[in-house]
Amino acid sequence: MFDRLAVLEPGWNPEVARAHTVLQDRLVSRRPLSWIWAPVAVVAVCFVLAVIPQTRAAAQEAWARWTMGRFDVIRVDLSKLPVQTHVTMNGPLPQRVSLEDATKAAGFAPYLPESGVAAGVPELMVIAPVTVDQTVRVADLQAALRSVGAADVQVPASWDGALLRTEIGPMVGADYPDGTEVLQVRPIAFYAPAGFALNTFAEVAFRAVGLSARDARAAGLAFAIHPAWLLDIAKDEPVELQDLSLRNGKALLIEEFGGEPAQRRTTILRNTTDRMFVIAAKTREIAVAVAESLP
Amino acid sequence: MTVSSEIASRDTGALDRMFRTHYERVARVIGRVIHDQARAEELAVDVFLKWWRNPSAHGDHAEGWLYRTAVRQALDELRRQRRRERVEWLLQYALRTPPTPEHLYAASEEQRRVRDVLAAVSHRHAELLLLRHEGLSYQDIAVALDLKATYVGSLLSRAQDAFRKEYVKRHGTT
Repeated sequence: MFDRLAVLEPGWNPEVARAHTVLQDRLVSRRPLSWIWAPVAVVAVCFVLAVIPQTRAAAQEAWARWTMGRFDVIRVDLSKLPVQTHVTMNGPLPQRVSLEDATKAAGFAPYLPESGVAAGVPELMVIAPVTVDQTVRVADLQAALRSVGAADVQVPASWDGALLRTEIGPMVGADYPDGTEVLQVRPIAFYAPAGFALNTFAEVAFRAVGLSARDARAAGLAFAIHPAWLLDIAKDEPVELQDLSLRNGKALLIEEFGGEPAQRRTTILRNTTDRMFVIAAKTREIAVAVAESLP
Repeated sequence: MTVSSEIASRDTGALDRMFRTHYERVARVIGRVIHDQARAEELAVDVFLKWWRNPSAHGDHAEGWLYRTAVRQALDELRRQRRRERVEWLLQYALRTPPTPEHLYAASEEQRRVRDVLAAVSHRHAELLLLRHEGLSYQDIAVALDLKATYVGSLLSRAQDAFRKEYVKRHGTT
């Protein structure tokens, strides 16, 4: 068994001198930001790492606009989707703010659970708007289709270089001392070139990540009719999805059942006409109570 | 006097000595659990700051306190990372980028499996396994985790069993 732990041996040597400098600097430093803001770090990192697409984007003048007003879950690995991505964060990195400042920065008043539903006073943060540009590469798409045995699927050459743009946020997060988190965002704007066959593209994209022809057609059509911010959960992840009927509407519950019980989390995705919510809590009861206390 | 100015005015000699003696090992203990060197070293620095700010951790048991705290910091971070991954999928569809060398390193399948298991077994079991694997004696482990030395052997045995079971449950092989 200790052989297994041996694979964790670090392949690096600690940089003592540098760490000592950091230690001295941090003797009076503040504590780090909460984990819920990790997506922001991801955005920042991606911004640095992004491949700037040399596409016909600049010449793409006519756009069709959709609204992504819902979260949805799909049980495939979307990381296999071959698109080039360029992310821009349009604002400062988040900091803890008051409710008043959060409202001002986000442009909407965040909804918070009624007092007492989640324990303690939340820390609020605003994540600046993010623009995500994704460029379609026909050759990459064809290669992905071949790799899943769907080489017969036609990919129109005219898609090459097409730019898909998603504008997300601002988002507001509330992080409670009991581990409950509420993330909310207004419906997301999604743009594609005018005349772009979104349903066909979505169908091909879903085939490329491994869905059957029939499932891909259904999922592509559903996405085109009512675009969703798709969250992918691999089929073998130990989670259970359940449609919920809350006091205030429908929601999707994601419950974990693997690992140590104390580490499991319950997440509720809820969409309203003007807000998309992600609520995560240590128990189903808390998550439901929080979700039901929101509009 | 504020806490910050009080700390700033204190002699940091003891902190320096502890740091120079134990930093490398503490960083490597954390590095077993957190693959990212920069983050592991950042957490290691945190351990020394916590020690410095906690007078009750000074004294004879300072070393044990350091390693216990290092392992706990690492395990807490590992679990935060697992939670974080669940939130990150909110953005991941939109944020696909080519893998970096760091991602490739993190993708080492066996490392990933072992870390998943460490994140899933109880904190105490993970602490015992990591400290023992770091080479601490039963006596050192007993001091670090505030246990009776005579119990360490059987607790380690249970921790190994728990690890094996969780590994098999998740990955189907021993």
